[in-house]
Amino acid sequence: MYEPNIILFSFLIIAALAVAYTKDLIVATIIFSVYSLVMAIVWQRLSAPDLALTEAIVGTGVTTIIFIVTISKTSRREE
Amino acid sequence: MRKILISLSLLFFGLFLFRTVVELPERDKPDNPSQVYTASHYLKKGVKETGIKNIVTAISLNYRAYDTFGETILIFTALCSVLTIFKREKHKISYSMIDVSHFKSSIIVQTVLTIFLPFSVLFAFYLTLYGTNSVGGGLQGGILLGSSMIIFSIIFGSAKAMDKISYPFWVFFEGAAVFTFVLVGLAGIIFGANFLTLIIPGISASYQLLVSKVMLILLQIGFTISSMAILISIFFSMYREETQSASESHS
Amino acid sequence: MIIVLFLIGFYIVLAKPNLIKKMMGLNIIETSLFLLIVSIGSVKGGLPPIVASGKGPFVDPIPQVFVITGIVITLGTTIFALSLATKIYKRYGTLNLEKLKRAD
Repeated sequence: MYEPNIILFSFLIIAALAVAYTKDLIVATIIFSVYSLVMAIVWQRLSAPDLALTEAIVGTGVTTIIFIVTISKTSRREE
Repeated sequence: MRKILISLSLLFFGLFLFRTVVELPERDKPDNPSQVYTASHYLKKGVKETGIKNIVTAISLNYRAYDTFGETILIFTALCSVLTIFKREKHKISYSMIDVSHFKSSIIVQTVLTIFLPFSVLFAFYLTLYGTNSVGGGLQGGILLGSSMIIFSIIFGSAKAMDKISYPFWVFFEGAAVFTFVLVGLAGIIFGANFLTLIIPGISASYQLLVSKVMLILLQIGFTISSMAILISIFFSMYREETQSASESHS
Repeated sequence: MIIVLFLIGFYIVLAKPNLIKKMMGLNIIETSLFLLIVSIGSVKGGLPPIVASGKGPFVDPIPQVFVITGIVITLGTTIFALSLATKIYKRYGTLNLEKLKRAD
């Protein structure tokens, strides 16, 4: 089954499970920013270019920076 | 015990959601009820009534401008909530040097960013000014501008340029979106129509589209400047709060 | 499929004791709901809702307006919650919910 929607959705589900099960917070942040990027590709496949642009900018620009600033001020590597 | 409760509640929720989602109208069919009744009106008459080619921007800035007004108030409230939690240095926006002695970012990162960041700032300005003809709008341009400036000051370590802007100007930048929305809305009242109409009834019809486009560009520029200033203020408040409390406890 | 994403995010919020992980779970819940809203109005083979891009069936533009506002709302909630988490760490020294219940 080569349909791209199924591959993208399964990637999203695997990324969400990976965020749930890692114990290192920085790894979870990076996986989360990849999740935002794949979500932006899914928006483009649903013919919503405004949403793809906004999700790409917000998800990988601002959310990742804010998470990393918070992790650097609090406990870094624990669950 | 806890795990049993969690899995039971997840199953419960899942069953409810499944029953609800199955009953929604089928996607991918052209005779959805939402398509037939409202969306066809927006798609057919949108360009003629507003003069904007991007229907999403037309809806959010012309047909439903109040929602966008509420969104600007929301971003401003986020800034106010961060400022009540963290203090800001008196009458200065940021601390002059961000301490980069802990990490020395590698040559690869610095080289890539010196090529990439000017393009991203240019793209942010493009998104602001072309919001009406293609994708974008003021909001996306502002966030991109703010985040590229934050990345610049993290990697290259100096935020001195922020201190050159005097503090009252910076506070004005933060509230710029709300200001421009209120001013454009009041311009509608002054000329005799409702609050946020972008059409002035006194001028002849051939100038109306021009006036509405000018007002839209003003709105988007205000949105951009405000988003950029709010993001930068939030970042600097969160990032350097430690040193100030440490120096206060010493003295 | 969207239900599965929603339930994974919900599980992260319920079962993981760290506050930062809970914020990530909340974000996953909200993005899955935006997917649901936009996929209701989509048309098979539809064009993006910019009128200059050709004739033919367009995708419904109304849900997209609300999802743009929704993304900004998610951003605001995340920023506020993470600044509160920073203050909690400074006061109590831990971000684990089990230990926070027993302290003070």
